[in-house]
Amino acid sequence: MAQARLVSLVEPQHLLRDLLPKLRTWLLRYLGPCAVLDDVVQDALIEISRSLSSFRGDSSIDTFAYRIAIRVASRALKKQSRRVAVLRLVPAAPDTIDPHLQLANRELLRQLYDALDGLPHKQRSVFVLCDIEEHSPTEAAAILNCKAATVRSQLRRARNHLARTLGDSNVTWKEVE
Amino acid sequence: MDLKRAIDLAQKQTPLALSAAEAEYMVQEALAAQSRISSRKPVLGGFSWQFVPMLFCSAALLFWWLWPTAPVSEMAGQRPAFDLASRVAPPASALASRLQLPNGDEIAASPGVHFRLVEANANSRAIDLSSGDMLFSVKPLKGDQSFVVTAPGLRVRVTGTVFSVHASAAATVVRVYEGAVEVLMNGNTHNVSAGQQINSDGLRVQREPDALSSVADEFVAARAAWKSQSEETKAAPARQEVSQTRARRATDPTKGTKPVAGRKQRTEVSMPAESPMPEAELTALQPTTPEHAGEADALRQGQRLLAQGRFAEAAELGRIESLPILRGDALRAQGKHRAAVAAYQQSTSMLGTYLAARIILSELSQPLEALNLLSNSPAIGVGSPIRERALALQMQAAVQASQPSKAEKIARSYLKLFPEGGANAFANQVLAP
Repeated sequence: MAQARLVSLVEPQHLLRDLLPKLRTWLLRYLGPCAVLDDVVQDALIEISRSLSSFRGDSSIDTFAYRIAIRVASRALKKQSRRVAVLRLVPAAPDTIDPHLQLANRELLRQLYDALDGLPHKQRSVFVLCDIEEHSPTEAAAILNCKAATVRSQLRRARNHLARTLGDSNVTWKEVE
Repeated sequence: MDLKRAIDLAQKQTPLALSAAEAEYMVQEALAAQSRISSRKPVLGGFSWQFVPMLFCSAALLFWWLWPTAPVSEMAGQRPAFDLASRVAPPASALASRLQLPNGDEIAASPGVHFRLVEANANSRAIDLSSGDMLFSVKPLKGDQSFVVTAPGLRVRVTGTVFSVHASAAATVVRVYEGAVEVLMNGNTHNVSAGQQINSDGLRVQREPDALSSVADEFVAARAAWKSQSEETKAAPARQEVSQTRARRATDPTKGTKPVAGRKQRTEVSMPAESPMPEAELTALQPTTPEHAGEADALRQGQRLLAQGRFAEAAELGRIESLPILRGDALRAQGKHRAAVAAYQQSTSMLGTYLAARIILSELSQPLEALNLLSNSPAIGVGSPIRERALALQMQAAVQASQPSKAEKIARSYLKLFPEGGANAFANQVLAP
């Protein structure tokens, strides 16, 4: 409830300004490199500004915003709005000076997100939250509004599917509590 | 492929940097869109079009529930009237759909019954009941008419009765309210009388009330009214004809005697040939206890048929109702003496033996066979209500079989037991030197 009171005191534009960079990072990691990223971010911002009045303070405002962002991203994926990745938009990592290595990294990312496209939305969300965003299963369960055990089982299935699809059976996954 | 490295790259990827103006534009755009949405006027006072399919489905379900079921409409041949009142408060009997066939037969069916009208013409009606309760009130059938109901595990043949058939996955039950039916199951035939019920396992018990009992009571009352009306219109001329025939027989000296030719006889004797046996005698000897009330009804009905000269129907009724004496009388009246003897001998009562012996002696002219039959019969034993008649017949058979010593012995017994008997003269003639 304290969170809700705090949010009510803050001007919505300030709140949205703070959330915007986080949203762009979250959605980039969720969707992968794509040209419509900012469109999805804009949709998520509108959805968050609409839902602010219903925020009850049961969770942090970040969790609340993340939950909405994932819902909007899933909807965008269902609409097949995700276009072919425009890799030029993705800036090169600072340590990738070698152009061959840079090309290999882009190819790796493309393969990873192609494999994620083959996952059910729930498994994809769990995988992005736990293995890319490195949230705990409990945190992921709070964002996805489900049980931690469900998150663990979905994560196990997503990992198995990706390892099978990408042909990396020797990968060692981070232990989940 | 190195999956771990791909995940590391995904973690490290960052979006293209936005300028402050671009970020401010996105935030303001979101706030403006939110204000546009909140200021939008609700359509139809907040009516949500998402509920339209739900409303449509609800209306369709309500319509389907209120519309009469299909099997009933098949039975009636036309769609029953739309009756909302009977659907809202459905008492069991009120929900029974009724149908009257052109010949006056009535059929009632419980809701959800599944049946097929296999045959429906003037002579033959057949119904195949799959599940549910059906009640039938069938007018007495004539000649080769038939009314057959087939249910899982059994087959019911009807002569003219009120009965119901309940068919379900668990069991099939036949309940008889009036008259009797013939139930065929597993190759066996069971005659079920009024007040009884039988299930597909062959278990016969007292009839229990069912969903259509109240309708059945109405059917029985209607049949009683119909019977009394038809008796008044039909039975009166038939009775008059029978009484006229009997009066002619009584006055005609040539009737009632049967000359026996070509046989050695000591005395010309004859027994009065009564055909059929007097009703009083039959009713006195037939079972009339409450558990056989149905048989008593059938017996009276058979006697009426005999009086009306409808011998074939009487014979069929006797067969279905397990009344061998009635059947024998009917066959005898038709001139089928050997069949009549066989029918009489199916009876376990002493009357059956007596009647069989009488036909063997008088109609088939086989005195030895009649003598043997009577000698082993309880009809001539102590306590027999027809001992006097049986002894007289046995005496006549002994005479016709040319067994004088036996005839004399029987004659002495007769005179000793029945000094005032009707065959005293004949006994004295036998004993005369």
